[in-house]
Amino acid sequence: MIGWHQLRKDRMAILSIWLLALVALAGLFAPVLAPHDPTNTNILHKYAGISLTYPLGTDHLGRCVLSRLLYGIRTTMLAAMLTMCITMLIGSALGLMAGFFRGKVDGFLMRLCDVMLSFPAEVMILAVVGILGPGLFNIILANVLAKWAWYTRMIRSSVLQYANEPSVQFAKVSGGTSFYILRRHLFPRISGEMAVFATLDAGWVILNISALSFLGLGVSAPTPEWGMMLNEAKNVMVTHPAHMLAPGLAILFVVMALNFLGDSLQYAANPAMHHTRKKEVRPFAFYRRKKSVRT
Amino acid sequence: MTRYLLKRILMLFPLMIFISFFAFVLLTMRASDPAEVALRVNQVTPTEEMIESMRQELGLDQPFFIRYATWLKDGLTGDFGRSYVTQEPVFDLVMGALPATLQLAGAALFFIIVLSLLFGVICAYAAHTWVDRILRAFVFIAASMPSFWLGILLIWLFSVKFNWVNTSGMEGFKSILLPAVTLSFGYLSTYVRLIRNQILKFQHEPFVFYARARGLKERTVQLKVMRHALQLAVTALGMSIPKLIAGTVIIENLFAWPGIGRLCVTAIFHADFPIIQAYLFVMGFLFIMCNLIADVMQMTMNPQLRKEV
Amino acid sequence: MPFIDVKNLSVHDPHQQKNIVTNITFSLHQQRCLAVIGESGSGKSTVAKALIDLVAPSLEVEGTIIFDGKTLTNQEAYQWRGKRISFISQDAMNAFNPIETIGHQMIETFQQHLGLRGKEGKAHAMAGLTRVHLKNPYDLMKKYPYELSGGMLQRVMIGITMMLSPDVIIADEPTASLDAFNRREVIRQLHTLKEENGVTLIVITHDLGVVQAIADELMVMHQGVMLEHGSAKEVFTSPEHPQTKHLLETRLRLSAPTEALRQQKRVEALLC
Repeated sequence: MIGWHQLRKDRMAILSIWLLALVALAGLFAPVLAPHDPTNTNILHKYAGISLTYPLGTDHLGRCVLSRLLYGIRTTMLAAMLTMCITMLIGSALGLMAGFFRGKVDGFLMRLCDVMLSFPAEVMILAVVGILGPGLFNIILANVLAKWAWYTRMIRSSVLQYANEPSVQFAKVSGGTSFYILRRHLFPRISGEMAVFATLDAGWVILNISALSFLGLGVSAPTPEWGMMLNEAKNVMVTHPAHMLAPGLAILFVVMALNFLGDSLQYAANPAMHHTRKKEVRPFAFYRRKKSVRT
Repeated sequence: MTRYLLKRILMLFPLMIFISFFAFVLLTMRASDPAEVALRVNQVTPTEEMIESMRQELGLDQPFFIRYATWLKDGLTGDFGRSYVTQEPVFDLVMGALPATLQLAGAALFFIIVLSLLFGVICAYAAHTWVDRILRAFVFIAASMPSFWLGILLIWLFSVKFNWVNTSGMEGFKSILLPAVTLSFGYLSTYVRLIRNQILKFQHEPFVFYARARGLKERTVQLKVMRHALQLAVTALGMSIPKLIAGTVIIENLFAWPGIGRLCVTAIFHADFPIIQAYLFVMGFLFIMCNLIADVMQMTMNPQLRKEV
Repeated sequence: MPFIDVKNLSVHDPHQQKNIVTNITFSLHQQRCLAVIGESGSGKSTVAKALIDLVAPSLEVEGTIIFDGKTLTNQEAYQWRGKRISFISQDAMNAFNPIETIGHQMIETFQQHLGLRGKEGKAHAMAGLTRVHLKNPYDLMKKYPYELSGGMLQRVMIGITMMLSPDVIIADEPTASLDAFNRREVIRQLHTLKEENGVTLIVITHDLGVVQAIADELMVMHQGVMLEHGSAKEVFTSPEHPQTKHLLETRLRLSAPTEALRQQKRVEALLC
């Protein structure tokens, strides 16, 4: 279980949560916050500098950069959340089934996972996008296909850990239906670990989505998306290098916050790690110890 | 030990069959008719007859399993068909592009090893000081950064601003530098942390205590610790080599590096399916081989594992 | 003048605000053996580690330790460890580096302290293994620690110690994980070292048989504090503190009266 009190003490984790919440809200209220329509082109005002009308300037088609950033939150975050949710749903359903029912179901699922995991994720994603064609929906599908096996594996091992506990055994014996046990006993236990996996993975998913968009395999213009914006910025690198900053920094901060949060969650969820942090001593300290045996 | 090896190699075959099956199934899932696509791509407006003849030519009128068997047979002899676009044999295209990718992955691996060893050891022996914290913050940011963003920033810096290196194509040492460094950045965090934590963890082991108690020089003791600490890192590194090879895609496209990643993406844009299929197959095979090699290496390094086998 | 002089040795854990060991004071003359007994967690091992300054760095150590007239500091301990003060670990199975052969680990110790390399080192190592009555030393040296039993590894440790000819040997539970045969061997070898080589011994043990066999002086510890300290016979026969009495009684009660007598007879036979 996650030690919530431990988490509250971690200042950087709190900062990350705040940052992510802020970004999410900004995306949610983008229509209200954005000064302009992100797809509104205005060639006359292209490459405008920072001003009150255009707080971050405009791009090569005269579109407001800030607005595109804000609306881009929606695209990226929506895609990422969808990916995570679907993957986790499939992963937990299959993982719970495999871990709880064991036997043939388990065996079959594990073989399947083995095959799926024998490809690196990037290859799988590329192959799926390649076959089904570019597009945001296909990217999401590709990500889900690439990662579901990993989640199933993880959740299954968690379930195996907990399934042998007395409380679960007792529920089994006293005639609880499988579904009830799954829901009441196992699910709360594994949801903590699931949250950790999900957060750690979310950063990777966002990087992936923006990378594919950067290549041109993701969203189609004029949908605002950070990866796509970086692609456009790349084309004007020589004349207007500053355009590379905003979208890149946006991705960087969001992914950093997610990674940090994931680390903190992992640390909080694992009580054994609490002690190791304190006892970490520099090597050679035995050798150069200041407080030696003295009078 | 040899028995274990044989068993693993034997397992290769069913696994490869599965992979090839999956690659093939994926292909049959596509919406568009490959015959039509093949014709359209060559600027030919297809008529019904032409589509039919193209289908026959591509062997698409055969039932599923026969198609699969044919495909597999061809694949085993190295015939993956021809590119829809250029009509060149896919095998030649893929094998032609593979060395470039391997070179890039190799160079990136070099940087990963050197930098993560350096940073990992420094962080471990300066644990909790500001040096440690700054280095760890640095690798953390490097891992959270989109690699293509880092790429374009570096391109701007070194090519546009300073004009030191040429950033497209493959022309000797200078042009591999930037892509390799960019590629390596994303992986540093994992290994630096691993090496650092392993070194710190092993300080408390009983055998380290006894080594000190025996009066061995601290330097000697630390070398032993490092040998242990690096074991895990080497295994992890070995297992991530195929991931590295697969991850060259974005970098290759950005730096116009003629590797299979770039080949595949171009193929995607042209809906050139044979290439995508072959890519999937080759990468799957590489992945399994690398895992096997990594396992063997781990067993060589740690004699205790040999006993378990 | 006593060879080892310890005054007010204390070890404190600042993180958990606990005193692990408090005010240990004793002195030991050369060629004498001090046995330290006490229940688990009484701080015996910590005292042993403090004597060679290998207490965990997060702990604070205070007090004075004097070996042969010189105060033990960080530097001195580093110099003396192994060569002048030898340590025998409690957990023999994990004391050796699992990825190096026994031979390698023995030879590197000799190389460090005695300057013996290559063939000389090997010969020395084989001599050491023979002295502790381990069979096939040549093959043994090529083996890895996981291939040997706890008893054999313990004897290897003693072998290394013997070949280094130290002035002091600190043995932490040398007979803890051993069977009866090995136990007897170890006690016998320690005794030989004391009598014939003039080594000063500090032995930490649960085993009252060891105490009876080789200890000249006895120190009883309880929860980090020194309860009693005096000649072995005195403490054994007329303990002052109730805890000591309890400790001795429990231990003796574990063996039936006749068995105890038999033990006594066997111990005496050992010493002939």
